Amino acid sequence: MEPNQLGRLEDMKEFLREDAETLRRERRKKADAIYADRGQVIKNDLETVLKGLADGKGDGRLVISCLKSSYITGSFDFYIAFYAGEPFVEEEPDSAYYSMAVFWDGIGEDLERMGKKLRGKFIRVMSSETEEIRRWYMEGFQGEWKEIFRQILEGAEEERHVDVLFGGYMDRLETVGRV
Amino acid sequence: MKYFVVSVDSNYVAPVPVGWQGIIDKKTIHRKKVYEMQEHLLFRVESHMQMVYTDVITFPCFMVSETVKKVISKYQPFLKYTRVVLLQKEKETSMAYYIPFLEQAGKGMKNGTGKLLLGREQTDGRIIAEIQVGDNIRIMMRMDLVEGILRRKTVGVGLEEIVLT
Repeated sequence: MEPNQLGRLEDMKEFLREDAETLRRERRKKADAIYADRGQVIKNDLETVLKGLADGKGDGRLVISCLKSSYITGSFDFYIAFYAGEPFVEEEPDSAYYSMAVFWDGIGEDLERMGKKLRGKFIRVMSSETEEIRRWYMEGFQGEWKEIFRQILEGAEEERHVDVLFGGYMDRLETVGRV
Repeated sequence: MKYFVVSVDSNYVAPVPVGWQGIIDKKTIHRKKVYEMQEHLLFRVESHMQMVYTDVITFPCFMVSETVKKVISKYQPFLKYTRVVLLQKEKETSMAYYIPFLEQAGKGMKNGTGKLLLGREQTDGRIIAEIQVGDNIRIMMRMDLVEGILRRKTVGVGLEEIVLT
C-alpha cells in the first residue's frame, strides 16, 4: 500500500487511461475550434506579451512554463519569463502570467464522465481520489499545450530574434517558436 | 512571482493527532523557542475511513512530510524542525512529519471577495513564512517552492493565491 493510503489510485488511473486519452483528444479538437475562431486575437496577445518581455534585452530566451499550481487554483495561468542565462536559475526574472482558461471551458464535463465510469468499477470512491484523478488528467495535457503554443507561434514575426521554449516549470524544455 | 497560502485541499481528510493540546498547538509552538521543543514526538491519530497522509497538515499546527521538507531544505537549509510521527493503530500505518520553525511576515487581510491581501514588501523575497490573518496563522510559499513540491507527486496540497498589493 502507498504510504499515503491512496493505494488503489494507480489501479484507477490504469482503468481510466484510455478514456482520459480519448477525452484529451476531444478537448484538443475543441481547443482547435476555439483557436480557429479567435486565433488572431490569441496570437496577437501572446506575441505582445513575449515581445514585451524580450524588448530591450540582450541575448536570452523566453520560457513558457506549465504550472501545476494553476490546475489547483483553477487560474490555468502559464508563467512566461525572459532568462538571460540558463532558464530557472535567475530567481526573479522579468515575467508575466498568461491565462489560457478559454481553452478549458467545460472541462468539468470530462471529469464527470470519468468519475461516473470510476464509480461503476470502484466502491466508495473518495473525494481525495477524485481530486487526484483530476490533477492527473490535467497534467496529461502538457504535450497538447506544447503543440498549441507551437501552432500559435507559427509564422510569428521575428522581431527580437529570441527563441521561445516550452515545458513544465523547472523541467525539460523544447523550442516552440521564435519572436 | 506569485505567492500562495498552502493548506490541505478540502477534498482530503488529513490525519488529526490525538492529545496535541499543550504540545503542538500553535500557541505553544509560538511561545516556545526551538530548543525548548522536543526533537521527536509520537501521536496516535483519530480514526477516519477517508484519512489520507497528506503531504502537508495544518491542524493543530503546520507540518510537512519528509518529501516536502527536502524541497524546503533546498531553499532554506538551516531551518529547524521538530519531528512528529503520526500513527494510525487500527490500520497499522504511520508517517513522519516535520514542524518547521518559520519566520513571520506580518499580517494579511481578507478583502470583500474573500481573497487574501498582503503587502508586496511583506514578502521581501521570502520563500516561505507565516502570516497572521485575523486570529489564524497561515503559511505562505513562493511559487517556485510550491511547484517544486507539486512536482514530487505530493498529495493533498491545497493552494490559495495571495493578492499582492
